[in-house]
Amino acid sequence: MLASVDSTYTDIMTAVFSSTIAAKAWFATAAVVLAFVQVLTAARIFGHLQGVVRIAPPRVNRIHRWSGRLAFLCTLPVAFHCIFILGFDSADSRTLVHSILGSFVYGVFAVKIFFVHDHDHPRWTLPLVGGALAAVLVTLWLTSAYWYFTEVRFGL
Amino acid sequence: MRLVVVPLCLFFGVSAAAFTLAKLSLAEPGVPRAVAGSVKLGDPYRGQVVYSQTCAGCHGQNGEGGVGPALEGATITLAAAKAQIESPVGTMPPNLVQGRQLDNVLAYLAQLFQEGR
Repeated sequence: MLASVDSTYTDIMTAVFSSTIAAKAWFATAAVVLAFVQVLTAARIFGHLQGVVRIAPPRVNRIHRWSGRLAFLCTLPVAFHCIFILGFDSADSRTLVHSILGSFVYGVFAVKIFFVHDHDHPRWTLPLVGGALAAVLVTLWLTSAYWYFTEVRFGL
Repeated sequence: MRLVVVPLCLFFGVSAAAFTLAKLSLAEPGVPRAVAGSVKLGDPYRGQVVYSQTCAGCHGQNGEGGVGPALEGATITLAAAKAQIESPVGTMPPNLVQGRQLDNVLAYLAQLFQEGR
């Protein structure tokens, strides 16, 4: 099913990367780097890390929004590969943890976006949900891209 | 109340949708039955990972060959490839991959054999 979609996806990814798995690992890495930018800029927006993130609020807000949008875009090819091609797997503990957290990641993302647009919530809610989203992303990266780079091969 | 119910519905709704789609894996690649013959094939994407870890050192990262023969566009059958992996002839070590990993590698080899033809 959807074999032609898979074939098109493979052709696009292997035009740049050596394999679709390598492409997935690099897109996931980009998403995690951008998630790190998200955490730093969010902390700055909430009045922390002023000595580390030396960017004033109007600009740091823009950086936070755009790094979030880019991070979301970077997750899309990864999610397509995971959800539509590989699917849910429980062959070993790494893939089981990855599959379960992968099922939750867009759920946490949807909740975070809800609280971004809602203004009646307690002040601690957004950092909590944003932190949870960053933690889920990092764990997903550790159980996929990091594993690939250290156990399989490091390269494009 | 709204601040609890809406996020919970969002979380479980989106997560359940992602889980269901992942269980269906609608774009899971298949290998034509004619190519597979009687050989049981697994998942070529997982096979690619196993190939990179176990086979690429001799056969090349993309099957272009090295110490071992090139596999990209090779004209051997999957049954012959399976037999070579299980009971190798020549310098190839025996039992490099077994069980489900073997099925996955054979699925990836099916793709490699078709490439470059």
